[in-house]
Amino acid sequence: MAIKIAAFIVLCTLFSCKSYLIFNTINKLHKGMTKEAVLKVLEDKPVKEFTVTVNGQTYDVYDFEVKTYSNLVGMSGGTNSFPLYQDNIDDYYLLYFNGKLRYWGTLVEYSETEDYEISVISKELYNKVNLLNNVK
Amino acid sequence: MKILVLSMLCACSLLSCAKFSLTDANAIQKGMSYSEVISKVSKKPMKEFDITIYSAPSKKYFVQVYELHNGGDNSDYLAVFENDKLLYWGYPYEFNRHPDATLNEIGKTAVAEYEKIK
Repeated sequence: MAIKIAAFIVLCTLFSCKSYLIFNTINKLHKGMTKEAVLKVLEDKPVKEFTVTVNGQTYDVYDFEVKTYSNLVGMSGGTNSFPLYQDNIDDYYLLYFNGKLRYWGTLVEYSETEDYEISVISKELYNKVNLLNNVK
Repeated sequence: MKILVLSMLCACSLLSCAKFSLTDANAIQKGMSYSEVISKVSKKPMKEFDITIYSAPSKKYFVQVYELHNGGDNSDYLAVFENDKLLYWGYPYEFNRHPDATLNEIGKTAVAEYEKIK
């Protein structure tokens, strides 16, 4: 039993090394922030970097992963039972123009935005993400 | 053992009813009054306060700060009223990235005020 508990703790520790953005961190972002300032706030590095060009303007895109929600999937066994959550992880794209943060969100949020410039960019971003995922 | 697990699940379910969630956020609509919003959500806000912004100092906005529970994580969540009408609600980052500069300023000011009083 003790070995099982120890193995579980080790597994939890290993999995927790994988970091995701959470909403309370994203809440600290503001339009116009520099890349350095954003990275300082997020305390994380992007999993991918690429550019998209729309109407002759090139935007830098940093791809992070965000935990959008967690589902309660059950309870652990044993005498000290505790809730088990399954995290839903989405790609989260930070868009920079001239080195300044212009927009951030999931692909869905880009396509649903009321910001016209971003809604135009979202189509190109969607294509680029699909292209990169197919190459992988 | 089964009884213990079942009672834990029941306790979790009951507790989750008393938390502000995306279900609450989806139940409110633009233009609702303060009392309408309060009647729609399952949990009262953590804080409520007035703010003014630099770009429109004559206007006053009423801010509610909720703690939104989204599975295992919690986040601040704002609802902002102007003249007792719900103007906008969302995560602070949704205010910050909105194309409307006034909403950007409201979000930034509301978070700064909340940080002072929480």
